Amino acid sequence: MDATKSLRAIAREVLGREDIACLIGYEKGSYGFRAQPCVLTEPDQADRLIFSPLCVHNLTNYLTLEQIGPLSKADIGKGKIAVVVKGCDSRAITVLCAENGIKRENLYVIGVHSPGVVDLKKIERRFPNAVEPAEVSLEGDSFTITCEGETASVPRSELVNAKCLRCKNNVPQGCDVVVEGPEHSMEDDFADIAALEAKPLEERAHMWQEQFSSCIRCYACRNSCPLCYCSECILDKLRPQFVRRSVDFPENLLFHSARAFHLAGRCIECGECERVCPQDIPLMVLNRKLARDVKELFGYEAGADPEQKALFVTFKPDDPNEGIL
Amino acid sequence: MSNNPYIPFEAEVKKVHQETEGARAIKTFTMQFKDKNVQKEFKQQPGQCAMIGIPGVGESMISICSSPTQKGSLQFSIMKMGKVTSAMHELEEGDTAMIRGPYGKAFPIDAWKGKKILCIGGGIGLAPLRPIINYVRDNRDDYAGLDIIYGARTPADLVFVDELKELQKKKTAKVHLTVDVESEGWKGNVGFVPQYLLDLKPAPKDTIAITCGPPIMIKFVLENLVKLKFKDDQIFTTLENRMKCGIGKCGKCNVGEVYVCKDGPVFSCAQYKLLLPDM
Amino acid sequence: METLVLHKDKLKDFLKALGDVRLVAPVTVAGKTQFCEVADIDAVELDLNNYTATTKKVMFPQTETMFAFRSTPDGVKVEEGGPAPKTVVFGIRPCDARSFVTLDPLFTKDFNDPYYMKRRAATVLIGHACAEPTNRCFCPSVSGSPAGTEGLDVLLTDIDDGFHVQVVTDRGKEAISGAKSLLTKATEAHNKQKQAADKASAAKIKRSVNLKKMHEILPKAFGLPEWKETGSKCIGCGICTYNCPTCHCFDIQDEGTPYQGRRLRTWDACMFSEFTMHASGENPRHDRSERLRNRMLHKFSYYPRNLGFISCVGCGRCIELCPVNEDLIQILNTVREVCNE
Repeated sequence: MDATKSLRAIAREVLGREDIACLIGYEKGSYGFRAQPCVLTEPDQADRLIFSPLCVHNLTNYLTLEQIGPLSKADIGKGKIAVVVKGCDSRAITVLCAENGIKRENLYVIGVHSPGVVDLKKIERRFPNAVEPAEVSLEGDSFTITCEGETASVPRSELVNAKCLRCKNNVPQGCDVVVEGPEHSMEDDFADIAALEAKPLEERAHMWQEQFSSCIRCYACRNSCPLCYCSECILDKLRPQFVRRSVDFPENLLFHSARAFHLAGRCIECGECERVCPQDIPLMVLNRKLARDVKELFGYEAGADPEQKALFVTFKPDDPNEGIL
Repeated sequence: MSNNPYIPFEAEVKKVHQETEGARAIKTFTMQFKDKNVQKEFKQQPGQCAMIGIPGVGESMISICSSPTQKGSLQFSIMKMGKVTSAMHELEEGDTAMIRGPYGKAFPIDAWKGKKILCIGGGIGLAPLRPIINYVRDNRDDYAGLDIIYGARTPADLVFVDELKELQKKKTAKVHLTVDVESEGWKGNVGFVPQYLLDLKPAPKDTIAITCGPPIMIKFVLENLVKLKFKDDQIFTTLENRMKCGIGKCGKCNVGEVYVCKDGPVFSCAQYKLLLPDM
Repeated sequence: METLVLHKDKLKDFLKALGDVRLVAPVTVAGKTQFCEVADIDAVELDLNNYTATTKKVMFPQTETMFAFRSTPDGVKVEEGGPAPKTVVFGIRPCDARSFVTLDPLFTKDFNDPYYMKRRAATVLIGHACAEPTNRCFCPSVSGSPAGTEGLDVLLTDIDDGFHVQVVTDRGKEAISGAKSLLTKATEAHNKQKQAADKASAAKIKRSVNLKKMHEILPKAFGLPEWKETGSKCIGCGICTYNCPTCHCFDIQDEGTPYQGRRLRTWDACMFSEFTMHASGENPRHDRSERLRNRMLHKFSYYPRNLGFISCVGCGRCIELCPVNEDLIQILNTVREVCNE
């Protein structure tokens, strides 16, 4: 709850500033364990903000979606967008600035040290059918959950999001202001990827065939990704057309493989794509596999260093490859 | 063929006429269904559209710019814009395209008998009005008058120029042409269509006004017709939207609760005013 | 309506006794429940009541060939597909069955859609009453019920002794005629158990939305700034539309070359940015909030006014699956509140 209080105080001040156009944060959801993104424009709206383990969304996605609240693309230069970010979210801003997707001076970054967010599916299975908005807090190693009048304590490891168990750094980068809290950072050994790679090819082929056959091409993975922001997605275009509109395994495989490659060296592993997928496809496996390969081949980790340049669009005179054309 | 409204019929390109040049060139295609029965039964009314396309590329909903009095063939004026229209522009005489239709509500041209007909068009917007013009031309005695106010950006952007000159020459209609900008060799009026309409001051008595063109032109023409004391039920327009099925099922072309393909494309001013600002 | 009882351990035999039909039922594929054609009756999931898997694909597949075409010396030949195979859908919830009743007028008004109608005519729906409504359900708000029979040919309800079987239509009666020997007449006690089960299910539904006169309120609310506020968080994906059993928008595309190929239709979503984009680049609904507003108005105002049904069956998939908590119950309640109705 402290984070919420601090955040509201910061927001009240920020929203009163002349040079801020809007603030993107989290507010209470409409039921159960849902929080929702919100776009605020007035200081007296600041008390709507919350920060809790239910705040799973990566709000930096809105910086690159067309239209952000009261701002259209044309308005972006006319006022800064304030955005609330967790450690993982902030890496998206680093990559976006490195590749000139957004200008840092158009943002006001409000960082929050998050102790971890829930796995929504796990918590909704554990406490099913909650209608009244629930309260969840995380301190140390356990969640305190108040749902439908009852309070329970659950160990962190049982309900926390898988990505938090390998959190690279929960301290957001490059912030204008920070809501402090416990800090942590871990090494990622990509053991899950190695385990999958050890499986026989036929087993993996069958698994992906089943998964991609169930994909309904809703584009939620693409639309929830802060690093997917082409004004016309090449995997969706008709002139010229690379991926057919018919939804079947071959086209879905092409869509997901191509998108994963377009994100290689850029994906910051916020895990939103996997969280939003209505068909529960383990999309992060693809992105993590490529992230590990990028680390091994180029010694590069997207968003790790605020000063880094974008990997695949930076030319070095001593590049080991012979030519770029 | 079965009762499948999505099945198109093959039609041959009899003639291609280049109306305008440039990146967004306009060509008028004269099409004839290969199956004579299909051609006979097609019976489109002025204002209706058809889905015309090339298999493997796609279909586009284009308004039929020929009058039903022109028997044995159909005409479409197509501007080169996107995937399908660009492919259509590659067609030559003897090639074929696939057509299904006719779709949409037509202009109530029979109800207009005895009245003066005033057509106000801009750019390619004259194409949906042409069936009215030609129908009235072919049934001239049934109508009290035919006036055409038509403009485009430059003289090179005007369509059906020869036909309009012919109408003027034969005194079948009074034709008033205008262009948006001063142009070399142009001795006619210079000014936007809505303003030219005000300058010409057509009388509203016993007159039906039909307008079609870019949305912004339609907006100002409607405003000016009201200024000239035309009543809502005297004014008609025809709208456009992205369409796919043409029969009110795919959901793409709705403006509020109406589907442009099925409840339009022809709308009276009274109906137009009720539309939600969803465009 | 005839009422029968089927013992739980006879269910697999019941399914086998449906005869030589294509059986579509809930099965687990890749770790999730999907409605699929069943090759092996043992794979049918009988305990999963509250699947979010879509059922509309049974009548309206996501990708469907409309016709094939090929060039011949005599011109372009168009080849349509054959008739739909006789199908029995088993285990569909009452809300999903109602969705077809809602879609029927769209696919038949003015022009008959042969693709949807041929499947509709060839498919029998055997439903499974909803014993465990979840926090996303609100079917009573749209005149539905967890044990509703509208749109179903047969309805099975879980009772103590097995399944209570209601034979709703003659088609249903014929479809299960092969299983006659497995079914016994329902007694007064059985019917009472069924009534109690229905009551218990209905009591579990906690959420509701007041839709009285909503079709009139919404157009009046068209210009409200609240649409911009709520629509800003929408990410413009197709989750709500694709999972919605009553959403019907589709795209038509050609594949192949002008010499040989097919014309197909696929689901489309009015939430996508280029749904209404003209070839000229002009887009009447270029804002996500405009598209969200259009979807709400279509489902709760245009569709009911044009075709007589609210385009919603209260299944709540959109609410549960939306990544950013766009909640139509919250949206419509706000509209009503702001309009003071």
